[in-house]
Amino acid sequence: MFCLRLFIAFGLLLLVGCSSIPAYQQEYVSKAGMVNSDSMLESSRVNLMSQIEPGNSVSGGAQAAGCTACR
Amino acid sequence: MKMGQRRTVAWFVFMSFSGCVSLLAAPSLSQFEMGLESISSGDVRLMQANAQSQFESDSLDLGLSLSLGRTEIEYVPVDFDFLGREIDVTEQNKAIQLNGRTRIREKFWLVGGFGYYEGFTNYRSIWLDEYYRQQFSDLTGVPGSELYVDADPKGYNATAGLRWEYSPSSAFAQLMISQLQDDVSPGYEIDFEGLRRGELTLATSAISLSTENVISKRIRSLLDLRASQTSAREWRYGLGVTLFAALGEKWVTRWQAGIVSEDPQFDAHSSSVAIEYEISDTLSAYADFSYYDDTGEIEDAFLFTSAAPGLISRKAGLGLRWEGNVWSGRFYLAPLSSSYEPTQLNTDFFQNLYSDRDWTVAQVVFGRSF
Repeated sequence: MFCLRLFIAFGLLLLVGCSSIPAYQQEYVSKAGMVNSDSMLESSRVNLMSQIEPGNSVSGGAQAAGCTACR
Repeated sequence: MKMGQRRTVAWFVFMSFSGCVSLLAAPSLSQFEMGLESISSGDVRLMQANAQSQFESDSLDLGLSLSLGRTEIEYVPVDFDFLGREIDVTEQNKAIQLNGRTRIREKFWLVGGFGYYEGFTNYRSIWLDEYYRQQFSDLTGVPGSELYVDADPKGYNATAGLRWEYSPSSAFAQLMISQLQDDVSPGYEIDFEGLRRGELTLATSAISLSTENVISKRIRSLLDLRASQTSAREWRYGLGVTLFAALGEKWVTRWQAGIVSEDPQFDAHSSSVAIEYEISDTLSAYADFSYYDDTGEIEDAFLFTSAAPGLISRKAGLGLRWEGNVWSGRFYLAPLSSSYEPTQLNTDFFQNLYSDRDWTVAQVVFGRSF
């Protein structure tokens, strides 16, 4: 279990990266489908999905996140 | 003045100040988008219209979004619910959100936002509200009957944080703190002592740390750590990882995975993969597949509970993205299936709410750049 956590932590660190890619070399990562954005056009997010998959809204408000302590 | 009220006033003052600063800097409209989306099954139909504008200047970005939602439910009680009756329920909701960020140093941005909504935010709370109304709204003479109230859900959120662009144009880290308050449709229980009601107002505190990095000429990553705590519940923790990878001149892929956990027993896992092909300079097509499962909601009921059982959902969709010089658009269509674990004795009254459904997801978005 410890090794698995270590592996995951190492993997996450790799995602952070430490190299700096200059803007003129970012042609590929600037394509519409490659950008993390609030724009409805650039992302492929469907807002209503949080109603079907309640666990995906961790900080979207008590109701948006679904009820996890229900009577 | 109570601590919670002081915090609310502090948020309000901060956001008002930020709003005034924004107006003085007068950023200009750079993007306007409108979208329509729906998710529908045989007995539940969800629709939402969204509009959002982006305003930009050298040192200030502002985003204003509005949404109107409509939910239609064919409410059908279980056969052994002798107080229940079939009824078509329609509810509407509306929401406004203003987010902004202003540069305070060369690599640092101050980030903030606030929002407000009215109306039910999900179909499940509408279904449960109708159930409670049919069961408990007319209990004259029963102890606690005066506790029943007509639901009037609404809420607000306020967010503030700092964004550090530690490698300009290729990497940033962002820390956000949020406070949310929701007036909810409460739950009810009845036993030999009479009617009992759940919380009417829930407060949520949340903190998130995210970092986005261009780690090579073809790979972009996003790492997101979140924690939130809602009234009378334990802390909920979430981790999300997204990878964008360009496979060639015309192919890109997106990978996403996330886990969420809350004591004592809630865990959710999600993952998705998408592949997109550039048909021409302006037109792309993409396909995606996503999977979600959770262990079911935490319940603290005495006799009966409305807590959802474990859920698995799968979605596979096709989309088209069109990018013009001024106008752009996107269209998406997907079948979605959701399957719940069987209800137990104490949740059998909600068999028709927590039933397996086949949904159709549709979305169309148009936007104009200025």
